[in-house]
Amino acid sequence: MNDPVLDDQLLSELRTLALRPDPAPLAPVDRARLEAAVVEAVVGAAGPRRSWRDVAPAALVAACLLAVLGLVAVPFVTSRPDTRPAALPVRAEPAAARALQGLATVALASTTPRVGADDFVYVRSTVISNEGAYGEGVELGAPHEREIWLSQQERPAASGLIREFGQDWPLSGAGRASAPGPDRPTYAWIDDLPTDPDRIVAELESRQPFGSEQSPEQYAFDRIGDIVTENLVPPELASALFEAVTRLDGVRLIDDVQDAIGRRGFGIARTDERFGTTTVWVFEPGSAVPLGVRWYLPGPSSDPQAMTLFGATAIQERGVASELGVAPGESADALT
Amino acid sequence: MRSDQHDEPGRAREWRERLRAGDVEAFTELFRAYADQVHRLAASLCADAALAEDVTGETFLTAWRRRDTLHTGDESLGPWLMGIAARQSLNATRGRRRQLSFVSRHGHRLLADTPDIADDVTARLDGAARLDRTQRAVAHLRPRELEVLALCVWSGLTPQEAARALGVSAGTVRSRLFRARARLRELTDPAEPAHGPPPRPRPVLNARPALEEPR
Repeated sequence: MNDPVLDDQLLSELRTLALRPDPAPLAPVDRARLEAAVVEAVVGAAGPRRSWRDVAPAALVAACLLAVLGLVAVPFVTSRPDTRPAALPVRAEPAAARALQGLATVALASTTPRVGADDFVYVRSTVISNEGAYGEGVELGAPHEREIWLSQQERPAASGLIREFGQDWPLSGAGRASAPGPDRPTYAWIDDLPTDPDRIVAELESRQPFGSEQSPEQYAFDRIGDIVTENLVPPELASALFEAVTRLDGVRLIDDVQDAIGRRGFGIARTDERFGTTTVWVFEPGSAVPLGVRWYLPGPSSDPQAMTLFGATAIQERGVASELGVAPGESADALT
Repeated sequence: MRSDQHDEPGRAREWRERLRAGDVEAFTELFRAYADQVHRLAASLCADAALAEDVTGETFLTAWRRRDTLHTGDESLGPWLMGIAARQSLNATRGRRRQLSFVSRHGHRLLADTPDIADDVTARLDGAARLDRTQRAVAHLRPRELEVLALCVWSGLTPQEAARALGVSAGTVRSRLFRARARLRELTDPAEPAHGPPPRPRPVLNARPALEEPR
């Protein structure tokens, strides 16, 4: 069939059924930065393989900014305040700061296995997730098991695997995993972080993606949450990370909170200024390893305290797996 | 909007030859000519500014890696790039949507991220209606239906161009468009329940060495 009239009818009806989105265009400064990054990646492709995302982002951004400063300087100046005092004050609410300092002390006394470059960090959780349709109300599903294997290699084809709903879902970006960093924290990357809490905050905030509209504090809080909840962390770093959270404005303590399977403890929470979502890390007193996480949306009422749970986890097991898809202590042969 | 507004036949032929020869200047020119169009497709499918930028970058790098597959005719390079962009976007959002339903790390970002719309009331209403329909399409269509929808309906490729870009027949593109229409009609029919069952996580598309440009 090749009928232009029929094609026209089909396409024009589809145009009304699924209106073309009208996303914000690529800003000139972003286009210039992207162009520099992809061209540099192409020029460097003859040498050792590297990702275009790795191209010295800060320097590149600075260069592009200079190039187009006359045009669009204002939004960037206001969105990324970069001058910080050398030692950051404690900004978390006092009760949260005390709880975090307690966690920092407990963390120092903990032990974690070392994780090698060929190993996988393995975490098994019970998860309650939002099963509601995209853009509609929250419908919490039944608790179910979720397993994750996170590759520790520098540049694997896939950064890991999630096993959930009876299926395996490879974790990868658009084609290959990004280099270890705040968005893909490996044990080695975590171990390389500075142990000075102020420098951790500065390091994380400096890695916030260009153009991200989250506050730097929220970005740092989320990244530290990823690191402490679904990874293994050397004790000294775990301690420094909890100290670092005390430097973040808006962090508060929730006295009594449960994880996805009802284990009770206290919560360390922060509400994202842009989205109104609240993330709560749940801790059992006396342990610096989180029990799980809870996520809330704002509402349903306009009361700023009103929150609707849209997801929760309870971590059941953390360990080091030597093979993708095989839990620690399980034999690959036994599965076949 | 036509996809070949940038490269008249002579230009396209020259670009093809220079790209095949590994000419970085030609690649830079191609980026300048098509970055906005590729980005709009990516942002339409991703609804997340940071992700759309990543996908835009990946699209051009993928094009560069596949420059050997370009033939030497004078056909516009637009449809080929848009085909790569659609596939890259769907790969990226599949992971993202999975994360959302898994309440994984960045789940809340997609939930709260919406394409930016102008700030006056009319535009906001239009934007809300637009977004609602678009979100239905994104949530309920199969990836391959969404792919042809994005190419033919949102980016202005003809079914023939989309077919060549995706390495399938024009008939296949049309049948995906028909299925998309049937599904969307169902969703917008007021006699139907307000919303269907929640979308389940989707299996990853069959791996396919796709998007080499057919001769």
